[in-house]
Amino acid sequence: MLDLFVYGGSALMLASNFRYATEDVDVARIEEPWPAWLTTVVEDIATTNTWNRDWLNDAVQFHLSPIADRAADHHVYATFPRAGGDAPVRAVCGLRVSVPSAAYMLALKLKALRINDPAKGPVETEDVRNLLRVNHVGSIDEAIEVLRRFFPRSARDADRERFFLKHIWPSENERDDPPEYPLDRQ
Amino acid sequence: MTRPNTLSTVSERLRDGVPVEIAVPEFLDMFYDCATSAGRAAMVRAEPPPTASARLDALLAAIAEYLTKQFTEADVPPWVGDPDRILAEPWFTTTSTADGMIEYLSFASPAEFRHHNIFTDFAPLARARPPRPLDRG
Repeated sequence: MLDLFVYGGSALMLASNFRYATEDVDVARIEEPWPAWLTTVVEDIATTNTWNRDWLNDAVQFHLSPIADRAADHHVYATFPRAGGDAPVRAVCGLRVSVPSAAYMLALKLKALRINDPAKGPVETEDVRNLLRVNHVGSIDEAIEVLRRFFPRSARDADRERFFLKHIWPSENERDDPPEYPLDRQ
Repeated sequence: MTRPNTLSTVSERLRDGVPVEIAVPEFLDMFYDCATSAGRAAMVRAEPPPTASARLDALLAAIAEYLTKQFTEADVPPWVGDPDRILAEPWFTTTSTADGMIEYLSFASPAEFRHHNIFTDFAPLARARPPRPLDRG
């Protein structure tokens, strides 16, 4: 069975109700060589949609937390074929797609914190604000604690993160529909 | 759709309604994946058509100037210095209006962006995939 761990905008599209587009699909490193069927499927999807052949790529691997747990800090989003009944997942599935928990997703966003990027800044800002809300983070100190859980070294010297968070902190009533990350409730 | 491999294509996509947060990062992935100075320079050499947004027109020029200086051995293309590519009013690329953030961006912004009256964070335009080393062979 192939375990595919999806991150970034793609993970938010799958797991949340506040992200609607992304430019590629970031996944954790897949064992080399890729299974032949995966190579074929990825190329077929690229051809069908006239996408670049590296639309599925593991460039995000370098930015992941080495201490994040593959089970506790991720949620299974879907399997193929769909798992069901009493059979163990590994017995019936060829593909399992997982996304990070809301806390891990927030930590990844806080580590990069690209809120002032001239192209992606507004989207990144909204992602961080929404993730703060779905994680019920009530203060900058709490946000840094989430960062510390996954990136303790970054959290030890988090002046930049504190400065940026202070300027984008969400207000209490700024959205009628609160952001959701439904997989966290399962 | 395949990723845009020139700034002109980026401009066309922006005019077609593709969001800037999609069109520009896709171009950056193509640019950083190119391993030759000449190849990278060719991707920003032609002047992109106007987008109907003064900010985006200036941003494309800032991107061309920054990428050329930081990641190629080529000269900056002449179109970058067109007065129409320099904003009349400063653009701080933040959702915050706080004085502290404005002051931070005023100092942090690379010269290639300040030249166009754009004030952004240091080391902008980063992607998960770092630029490939230049092939100097």
